[in-house]
Amino acid sequence: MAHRVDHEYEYLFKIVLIGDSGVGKSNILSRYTRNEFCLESKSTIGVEFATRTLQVEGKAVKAQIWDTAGQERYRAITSAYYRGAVGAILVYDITKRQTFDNVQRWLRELRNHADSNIVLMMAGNKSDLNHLRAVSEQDGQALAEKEGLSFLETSALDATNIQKAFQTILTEVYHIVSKKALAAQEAKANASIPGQGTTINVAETSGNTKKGCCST
Amino acid sequence: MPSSIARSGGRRLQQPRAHSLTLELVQMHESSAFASVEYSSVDFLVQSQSSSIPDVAPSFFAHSVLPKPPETYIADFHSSLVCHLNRAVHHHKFLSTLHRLGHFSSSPTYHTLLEIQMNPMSEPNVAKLILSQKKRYCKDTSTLMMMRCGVSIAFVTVSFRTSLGSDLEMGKDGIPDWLNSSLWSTTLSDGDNRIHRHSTSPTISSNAVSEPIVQPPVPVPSPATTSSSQSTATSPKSKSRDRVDKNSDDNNNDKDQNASSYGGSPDDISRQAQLLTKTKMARKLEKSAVRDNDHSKSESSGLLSRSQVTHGEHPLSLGESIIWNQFFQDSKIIEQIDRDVKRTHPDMNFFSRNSQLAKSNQDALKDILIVFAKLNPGIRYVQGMNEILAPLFYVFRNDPDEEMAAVAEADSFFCFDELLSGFCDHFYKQLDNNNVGIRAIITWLSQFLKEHDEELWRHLEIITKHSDIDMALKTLTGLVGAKFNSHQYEGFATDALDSRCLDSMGLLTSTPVAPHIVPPDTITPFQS
Repeated sequence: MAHRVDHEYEYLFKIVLIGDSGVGKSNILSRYTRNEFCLESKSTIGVEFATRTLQVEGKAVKAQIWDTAGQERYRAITSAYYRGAVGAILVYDITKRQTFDNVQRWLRELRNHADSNIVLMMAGNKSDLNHLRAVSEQDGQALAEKEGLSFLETSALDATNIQKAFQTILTEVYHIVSKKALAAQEAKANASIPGQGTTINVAETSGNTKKGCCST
Repeated sequence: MPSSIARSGGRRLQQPRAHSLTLELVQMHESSAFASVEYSSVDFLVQSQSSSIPDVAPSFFAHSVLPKPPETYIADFHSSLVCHLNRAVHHHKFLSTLHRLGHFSSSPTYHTLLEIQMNPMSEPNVAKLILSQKKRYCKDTSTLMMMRCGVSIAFVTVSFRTSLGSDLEMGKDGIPDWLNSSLWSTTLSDGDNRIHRHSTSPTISSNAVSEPIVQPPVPVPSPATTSSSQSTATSPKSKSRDRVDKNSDDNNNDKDQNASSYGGSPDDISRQAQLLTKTKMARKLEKSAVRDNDHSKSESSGLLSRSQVTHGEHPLSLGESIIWNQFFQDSKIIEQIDRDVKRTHPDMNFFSRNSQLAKSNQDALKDILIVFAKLNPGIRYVQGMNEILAPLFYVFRNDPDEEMAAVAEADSFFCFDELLSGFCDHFYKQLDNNNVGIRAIITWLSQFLKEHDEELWRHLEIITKHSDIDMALKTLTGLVGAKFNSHQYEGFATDALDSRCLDSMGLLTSTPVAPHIVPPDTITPFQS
């Protein structure tokens, strides 16, 4: 947890990192937030999180990134961590086919627990281990297209695409959020204009509900 | 088995006279039952009709708040531990189990049990274990540390209650469940079937979820295969190749011995164990022609002969073939364990992978975790167990007495098993939404903290919006194992003591505990 001057941000976005155990979620987090990489990091128990503040289109955005345990046992407990998450990076290991195959499962997990508007990104990690590759970039790309996710191959070891991945997802989140804010503003502006039609509708519905109340 | 006194329930003793009374009680029960003494932080809880040995967990945390010099406790702890163990060893069921284990003569578990029988956890080892916990107070008195400390102590108390409750469920003979495990017996006992059924329910559901993406178990060598060339034919799939690669990475003599050791048993379960280590077996057959002498033996016990392979057991079959399902599940767990053991304390030479010593240590950890997972099909392996095990193993392995150090694996398995039995409810997926499961405990802790130290609670709530889960989960599942670093390895660094912590502990431990009377399902963690 960085205790810098963290108050100066306009948006706080919660991003979760998910994926099978051992794909490098923790290292992606440490690379992004502290620019550190540890070849033999400990397994994550439960959840850990770190933050980093960055600029997205001129606005200060604080990314709060949650790194979850990969083992299935922790799913049941940590599903609460999806609460309030606006983005999720689904990580697999390009040297382990199994972790790629499990992406479907993680997507289902997200659909069950996360907000339906959550912005998803898939990251094929360990791209530095190209000689051990078991999942081609095309495969990843194809799956991402099929599922409508953005996709990048990353490497926490040599920092390839790590920045880009977070920047991409945060920008996307920002766009959605600012669009919503805009829409809300417009709605506010529209609401201030008096409209006759609406008044009639309200009267009608209130009449109906009254009847309903009486009958029950 | 338990005496009438034991049946009447445990007694909670007042602090000053606690340990002498405890010993008295222990001696009283000595001839009749397994009495178990649990040392909590401030007072003692005498618990009869319980598992065969005292819960080690409390002592891990107790040291920081002992009202008396730790040595007193250590002495008491020894004597009770040793006498419990002796009783356990002489229990007829235990002995008969040991006899049945004859086939396992070199497996780690047998080793463990034999060690217990021959040398009931030698006093020096216990002394060292406990002395090692005696830790100078941590300088870091940040709120976080306080929280952790409070949580762990609270947790110990909670786990007391729950474990006391669950002890009621124990077999009539007063035998710990793991001794009744089918691994020891030639036939599956009813109780064990229940465990299996119980345990497969979540895995089935998870399988159902993952079905479309799980690779068909096609290319694994047929169980009928006994010749080396066939049995080493590996899968074209990367997964199984990975496994073989990994195994060959860790390849050393110890492993091979372990692999072969499973092969001696005629029963089904051990056959599964054999299948589990089949890739190792395959390598072994390939590698050494010397082993060919044992060929017939391994055929009869481990690798299935063709006549034994029914259609249901074919690896290609999608049915509920017990053996193959088991095999694939096991290999998954072993993979996970392997991955985690390799990253257990990577900063310590003792565990890091380069040296020969580290490798053998890693193998020991792996074996212990695998055996534990096999013995506890409902829990299997949960990430973080390696962190709990590591300090235990470290302590035993570094025993100045070389004889003791040589059996570190057995000793740590034993301690680990005992330690986890105290709070294994937290690991059961089935209990997650129950009132003894991990969620309930976490909720309770959060409420407890709110009640007794709202300021701290609020502070944590603000830092992370999920303080309840966030802070406690690691402590609850991993104890404080993960908090070790190479410098302060000799201690469990939770003793960031503060008057506030002491207060909350006092409140916790002064809660009347009468769990013997309360059936386990009525124990709520909200009793405080």
